[in-house]
Amino acid sequence: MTAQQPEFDANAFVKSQVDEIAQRLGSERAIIAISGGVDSTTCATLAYKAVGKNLLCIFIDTGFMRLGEPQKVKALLSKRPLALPIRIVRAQERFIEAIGESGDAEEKRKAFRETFYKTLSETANKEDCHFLIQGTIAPDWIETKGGIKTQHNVLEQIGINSKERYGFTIVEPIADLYKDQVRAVAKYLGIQREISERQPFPGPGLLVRCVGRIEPSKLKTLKRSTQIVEKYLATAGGQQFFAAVLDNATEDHPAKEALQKQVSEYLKIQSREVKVNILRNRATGVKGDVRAYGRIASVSISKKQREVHGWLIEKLRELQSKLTSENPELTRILYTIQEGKESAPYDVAVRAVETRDFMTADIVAIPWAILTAIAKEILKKCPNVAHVYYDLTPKPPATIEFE
Amino acid sequence: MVPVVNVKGQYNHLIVRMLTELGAESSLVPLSVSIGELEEIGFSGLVAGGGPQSVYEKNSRRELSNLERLLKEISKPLLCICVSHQLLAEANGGKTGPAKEPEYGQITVHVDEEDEILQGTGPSFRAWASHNDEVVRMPESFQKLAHSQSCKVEAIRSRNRPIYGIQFHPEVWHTTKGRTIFRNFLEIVGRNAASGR
Repeated sequence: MTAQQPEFDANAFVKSQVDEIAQRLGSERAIIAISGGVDSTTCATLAYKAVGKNLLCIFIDTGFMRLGEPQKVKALLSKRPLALPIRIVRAQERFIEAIGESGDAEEKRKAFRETFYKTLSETANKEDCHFLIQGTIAPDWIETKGGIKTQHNVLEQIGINSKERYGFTIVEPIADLYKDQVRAVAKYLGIQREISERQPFPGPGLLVRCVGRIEPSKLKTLKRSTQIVEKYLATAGGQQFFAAVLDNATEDHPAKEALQKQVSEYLKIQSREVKVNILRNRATGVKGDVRAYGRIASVSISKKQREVHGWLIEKLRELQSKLTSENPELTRILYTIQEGKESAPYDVAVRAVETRDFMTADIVAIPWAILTAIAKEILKKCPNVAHVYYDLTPKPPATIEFE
Repeated sequence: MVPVVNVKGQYNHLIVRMLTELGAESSLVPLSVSIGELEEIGFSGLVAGGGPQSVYEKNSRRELSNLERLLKEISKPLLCICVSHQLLAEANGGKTGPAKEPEYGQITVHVDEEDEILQGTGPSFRAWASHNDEVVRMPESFQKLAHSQSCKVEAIRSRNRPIYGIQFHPEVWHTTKGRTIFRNFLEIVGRNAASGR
């Protein structure tokens, strides 16, 4: 940032938005679904300033939350200085049922979105709320419009008439802001650091990190791994770090042998000490502004070579770039940190990126010792995990989340 | 006023943000914008962003036909990014095609000619790119300004007019010299306006 740059004026923004919300709502009631993240909390605080008790804040427990999250969020937001009245709406079973057996990223997101708004509109109708305040920010709708991913909270931009379908009009007070600007507004509003600096948690929550089909034991593994990754990376993880769970299932892909050769030549490690797999699960990515529901490749080198070479982060970064460039189908490259029982049903991928506005992201060079400690603990606490990987892919060609 | 033509890429908004942060007035305008409309909002330069199109592909070319006309007819400073850079090359007799090694994410840009638009960015810098296609033959009236390991043509300029094409994305945060490039462009726009053209 240079001295010439005019600072974003949070004071002026808050003043104009509070006025605007008050004017649009008049004496009507409004509802907001809080996630505990900075976007929805900032919107709720703005709206609460504008219309006070006419705002109903709910927290929908979708079941795709981290361990203890609903209670934690409620406790935090109910406290001063925000003192927002929060009601928790339990809907876990509904979401699980709606998503069902689908393993496709877009289908899962769509089912989630539909269930989310149905739950929301039922509560809104019961409580006579005709407005929905929503924390959409710039990257959400830019990506949706471009057809890259479906964000659960963007309707109008994709042509869904919320008034007809769900009975409320949507108000999006921060739709033109980027994440760093939202944080500036949050700070200005006195929102606790724990929220204003909290790393973004996707709207559909852990759903998009539970790659492929949802299974209860898979989700449980994801929740445990998430807790472990967050514990270790709280101080060294970049702006966004998390775990994702995948199926331990590979495909007999025609490109496998060529890939293996490429990796072995590039890393100068003998072919028999290198193993490349194409996973059965797919992940979203973006190549040249085109959405790519691409292939995931895992790269492993023998334990002995891992010891000899240590953490080849720069080399692996370049390898990733080469593989995704030369193989159009590939949008993600995972690198094996440690193996568990080969027959176990799941894999876990650790991801950590640094980003300003979530439009582009680079991977973080987490020290190898920390990664191995994470892997060891995951394998110990989750015996149904076969491999723990580190995700080597920046955005683009990957997206930050998996689905 | 330096409007940004929205070519429907993900980062078009970030160009507006960048220009605004550098103190210029800017907003997104649609692909269908006419010269008359641009004059009405008092434009002194124009930026065209990236998008998902392939300019050698018929339908894409049709979608971009209005922008192509603008690139040929406007005499004010122009900065064309990613797909618009490819379109600029084709519009002036160059050729584009699928890249042998497409670039996604981090690249190193080597500056061959600092010139005006890349002033202060040499000899090389880290940039972020996302493209499946590239310029495979330079238009004759243009000069090459930069390359990367995988892509021969990362930046070009017209020999006759203040018109520039850039293959990578100077508007994203991970491109280290992006701000410098936009500042250079705004200076070019300022000088051009002062000379009364």
